[in-house]
Amino acid sequence: MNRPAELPPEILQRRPPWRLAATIRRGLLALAVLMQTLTATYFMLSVLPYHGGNLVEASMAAVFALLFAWISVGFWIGLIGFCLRRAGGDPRSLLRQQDAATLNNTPLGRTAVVMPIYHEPVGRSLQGLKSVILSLQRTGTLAHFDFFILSDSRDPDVWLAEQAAWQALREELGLQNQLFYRRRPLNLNYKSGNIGDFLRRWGKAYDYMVVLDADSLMAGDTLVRMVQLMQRHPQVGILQSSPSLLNGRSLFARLQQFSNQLYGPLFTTGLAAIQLGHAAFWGHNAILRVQPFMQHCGLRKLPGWGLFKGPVLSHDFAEAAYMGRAGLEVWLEPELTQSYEESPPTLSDELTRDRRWAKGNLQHLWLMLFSRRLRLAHRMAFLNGIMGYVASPLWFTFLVLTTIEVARLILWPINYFPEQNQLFPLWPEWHPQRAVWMVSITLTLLFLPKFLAIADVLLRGRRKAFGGGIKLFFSVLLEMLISALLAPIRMLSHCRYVLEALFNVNLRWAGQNRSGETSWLAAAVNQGIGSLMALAWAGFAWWLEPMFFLWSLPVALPLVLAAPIFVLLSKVSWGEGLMRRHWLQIPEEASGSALLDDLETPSTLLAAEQQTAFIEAIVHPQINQLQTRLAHSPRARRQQSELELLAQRCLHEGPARLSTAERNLLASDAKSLQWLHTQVWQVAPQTPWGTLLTQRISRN
Amino acid sequence: MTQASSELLLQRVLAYWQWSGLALDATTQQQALVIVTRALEKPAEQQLPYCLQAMQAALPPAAPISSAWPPLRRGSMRYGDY
Repeated sequence: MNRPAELPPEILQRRPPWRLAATIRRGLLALAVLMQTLTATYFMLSVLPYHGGNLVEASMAAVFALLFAWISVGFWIGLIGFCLRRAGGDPRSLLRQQDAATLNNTPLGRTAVVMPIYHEPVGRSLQGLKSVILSLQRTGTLAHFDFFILSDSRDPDVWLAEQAAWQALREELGLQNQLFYRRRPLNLNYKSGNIGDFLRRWGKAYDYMVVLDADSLMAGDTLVRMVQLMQRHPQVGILQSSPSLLNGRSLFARLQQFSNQLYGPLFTTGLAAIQLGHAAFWGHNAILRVQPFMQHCGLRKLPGWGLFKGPVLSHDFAEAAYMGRAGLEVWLEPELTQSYEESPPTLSDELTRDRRWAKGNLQHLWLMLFSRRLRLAHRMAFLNGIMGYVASPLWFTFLVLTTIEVARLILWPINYFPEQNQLFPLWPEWHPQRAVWMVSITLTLLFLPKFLAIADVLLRGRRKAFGGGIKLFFSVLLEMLISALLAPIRMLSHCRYVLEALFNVNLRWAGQNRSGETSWLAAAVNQGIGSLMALAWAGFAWWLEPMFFLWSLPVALPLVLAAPIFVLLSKVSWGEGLMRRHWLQIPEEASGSALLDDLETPSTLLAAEQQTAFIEAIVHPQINQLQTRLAHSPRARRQQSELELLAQRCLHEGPARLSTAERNLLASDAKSLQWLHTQVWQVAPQTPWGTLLTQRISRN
Repeated sequence: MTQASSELLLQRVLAYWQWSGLALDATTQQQALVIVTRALEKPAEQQLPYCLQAMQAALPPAAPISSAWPPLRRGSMRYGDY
């Protein structure tokens, strides 16, 4: 095992005390999953008419076993989480390895809080960062932290708005020497490239780096606690908090955040207890030890073919695995509260994100199989991520095999003597009571953790935080109903994404939509084919056997109704209507949150206008001065003459006649910005810029 | 025509100053009127350039904008095997 040279050996013990506990826990989990899966598969074989005696049934049993093992892992992790929470928490967790007083007295190290952004809503991202900064200010430890907005945005209207909002924020907070902005001219290797660029430039100035997403919120106390934990445990390379969802407005986002806040603690507690010091990194709301990260976590491009060639798209799991390989620990600490992110506002946005994640996770197959000296736990984390998407094609395959099996039994005569020289006939057997058992066991695995989560809330006396006992119960029922509706829709979409990933279809790595509703047209276009497929399948099932039709309904019906489901779940009015009635309530809505209050405080940042940022950069004297200061110095003479021609065109034809690339060139050039500013204030009112200027003045 | 020009010039001077952070009190408004009056004495094509020059000259020197980045502390990322 490699030991990082920078950490003294007495700090990095050869075998940390938690390793034995981890081995025992993981062994017991594997045993439980294996026994449960074998028993269920045996039951499944007894349910099938030929008990797995033909290719279709054998394949069904194999696929069933994989899927059952997958949900069994989730069940046991939820159960372990429940038991540990009832016992007062995991005594092995990082937070419990010292008392609060010791932690409180631990001095802080220099920490950079970085927020990589790419075409995000500017106002919301910076307002979120402002909330984090204000929260840190209240702890009195702000001096230990610097903040970096790391932009990869390409559209000048976006990055000019980012720059203007950043300047406004640092002036408002008086953080001229602590709040910085950096935009890469070339955004190579996506987010990990952006972080790498930061580390190469300023990494040596910091002990730790906290990575935030554009929608992340973290309380100052939590950040301070994380730094103190890193200070106390020099063998820890990454400490991941467990972000809760909040601030959802649409029905979909509110359902997601309710389930995340209610069920999440059980699963993260269970997961953390199994992983211990071999946890995963989720890419944000985490603190990283900078020096070993720079030394061990650079990501090479994959050398394979197709999907497995090129930059690693989902960098976080790989970085955790490399940190583990270097001998450092990676911890998930579920008891670090007040760490938040937001849910995508609509199902459509979630699936757009899943499309990228599916490709990124499937790429991990290469790392899982061919990376050298990785921890088994990290290889399992890769497998877990891969299964998150591959489970969908497996489920789809199971449905196809089931349809073939039923069609074969109904449409073809039964062959009682499938083998030559067979003495006795082979009778198909039916055990409907076992089938009922099978369904019951599967449903128990899926839903019991949810009821355990309710029990956990009730036993902790937190029912009011979730709207009260009755509203909590009915909110869970609503969540379960909608989860059941969403499962087949997600399954079909994920099947498509897995196929796209395997065929290496190129994706545009876009920023996430964090607002807006889904239109009927968009929903119908996106889901039309799936709905037609489901309709055809249900029709075929009806024609085959009405009983099979009924069996197909839980999958077919949501797919047929996918478009209305997409639209209705995206409705903000529905989400807010339920919020007013305290349905799907989360604790922060009941007891308030200073972070959320800061986020929702009216601010000029929230009005950052992305659409007109290029015009503002030219028209507004102060913004022009700022953008000119941040832009490049004059370039080579040849480039300069091209820019002069472009600026002339911009002046005479107006900004709307320029392409994004052309506006990008002008906005990046200090001389062009300055020249255009001077010219625009001298143009006649009937010219394109004169009209814009008059409109802008009258809007003021 | 003269009326429209004077309105246009006054509108631009006041907007420019307001966006530059200047308080639009009685004194500045009087200053703006002086600039516009002088501009109107000039040929039409020189009125807007004159205004821009005069209103920029009336502004206090802009406060320097501090750097977007801290001083560089360069290091390198190491890329190990897979």
